[in-house]
Amino acid sequence: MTTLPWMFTPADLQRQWDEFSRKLAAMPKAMEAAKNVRVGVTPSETVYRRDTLKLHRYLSDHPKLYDTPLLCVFALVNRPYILDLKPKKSVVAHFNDGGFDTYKIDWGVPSHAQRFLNMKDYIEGYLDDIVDHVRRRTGTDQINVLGYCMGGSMSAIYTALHPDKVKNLILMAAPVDWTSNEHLLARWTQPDVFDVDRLIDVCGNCPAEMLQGSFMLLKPISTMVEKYFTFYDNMENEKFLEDFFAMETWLNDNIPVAGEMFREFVKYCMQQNRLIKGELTVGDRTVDLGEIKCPVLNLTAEHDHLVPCGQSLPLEGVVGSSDYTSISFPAGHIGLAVGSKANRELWPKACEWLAERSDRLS
Amino acid sequence: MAAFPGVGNEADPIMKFWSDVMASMGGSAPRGPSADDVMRQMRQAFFEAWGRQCEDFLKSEAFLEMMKTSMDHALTFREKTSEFLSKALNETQMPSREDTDSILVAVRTLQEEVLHRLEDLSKRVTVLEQRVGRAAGASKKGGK
Repeated sequence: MTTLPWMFTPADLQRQWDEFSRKLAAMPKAMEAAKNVRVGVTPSETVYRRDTLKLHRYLSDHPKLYDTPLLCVFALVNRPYILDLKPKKSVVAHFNDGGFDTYKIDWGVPSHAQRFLNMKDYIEGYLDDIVDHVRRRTGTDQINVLGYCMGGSMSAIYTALHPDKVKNLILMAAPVDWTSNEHLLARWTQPDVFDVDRLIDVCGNCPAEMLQGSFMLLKPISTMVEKYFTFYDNMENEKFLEDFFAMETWLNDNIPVAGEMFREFVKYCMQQNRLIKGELTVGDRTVDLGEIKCPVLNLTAEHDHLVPCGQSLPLEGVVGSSDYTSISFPAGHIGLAVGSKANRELWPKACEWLAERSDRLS
Repeated sequence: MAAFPGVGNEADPIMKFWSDVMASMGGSAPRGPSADDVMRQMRQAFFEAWGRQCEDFLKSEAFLEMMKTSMDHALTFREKTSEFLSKALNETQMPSREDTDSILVAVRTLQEEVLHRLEDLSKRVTVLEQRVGRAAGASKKGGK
């Protein structure tokens, strides 16, 4: 009898049944893996606290080789442990083991009382205080800054306002130009569709559930359907389960964003595109990206559905630095930080880039 | 033509979806040692086409309008609930969120005012220090 490629033979059906039985037997293991998720693996100590904010310093057995410390600035919409998710999937571990004194900001969860915190409070208040704290603590005049996503935009704004305090700037999938409205998030945040004023006036802070829902809807099939099929296919693989649940933990760990900060970021940056035009003001100061004179490494993800390369690459045209490097890596927005390939190929390169531009300890 | 311009061409997205699936399948003809592999490839093609279709829909005017309306309704509901609760709390002489908000705003305004004055004072002290330094330098030179 002729069989077409997609026709199941009795042997195929038997195999399917066997596979299903094996998956069923693997269920307790999967449940165990879900219960024992460990994220944020590199040992660290909290060296500074203010309101909900914490500054972590990473500990290392490796000797410190460089004088200039590195500060990692993450976005306000998620938890920052994505930068240190698992062993061998950790951006901070690359720098920490590479001899840099590495710090990371955990912005914490803003309470309802903190909804009045605006861009000035975050950048000229919290971020500037932290930079000063790290400078004092390490006895250096300048520090290296690494900003991811919205944290990258904030880092670029900070560097433009305080160029004397930043020695090198690394940006990861950091949006600076919102001219194009072709991708989904840009379409959804257009002023005629999204009334950010009303949302913040009514809710106070931007709700975490709304952010999480929006991020999931950006790729609905892969996040709500395909992912679970992939899980079923791989549920006997312990390594896969570990990675899967670590990622799931982070993806479902959204936090609210302080209302005024969210309003200003959406309105002035995403809707009015003031940053790249040099029209954004923080407090009474105008942000001129041309003031960024330090070396800049701009890392973008080719398959980024959240911050497409087109939102990050225009930085080159406005930045005042003569030492500008850009790397577009074949990964997605999260893959840039936790992807195996990025950890194998991209981050050692970024570490090398920073090492070449940092002072060695005498 | 956009797949989801509005109402009246409901058949278009379905046609587009299936032609996408078929195109994906045709692009890489089903192959593999077993029917499982073929099924996986078909599943992949199906998800890819479905994903593209969803993205088209999520970008469409129809979806944007729907999103705007549903958000509007949700916020109105929340607004009305808050209003009702505030009234109820006020009637029972209990502090409402509005009350704490007004205190917060007052504290914040005060804080900004104090910080502003401190910044101003700090600038003036710096200027004074520079002047004193210059004057001390000049008197030392004069003394010599």
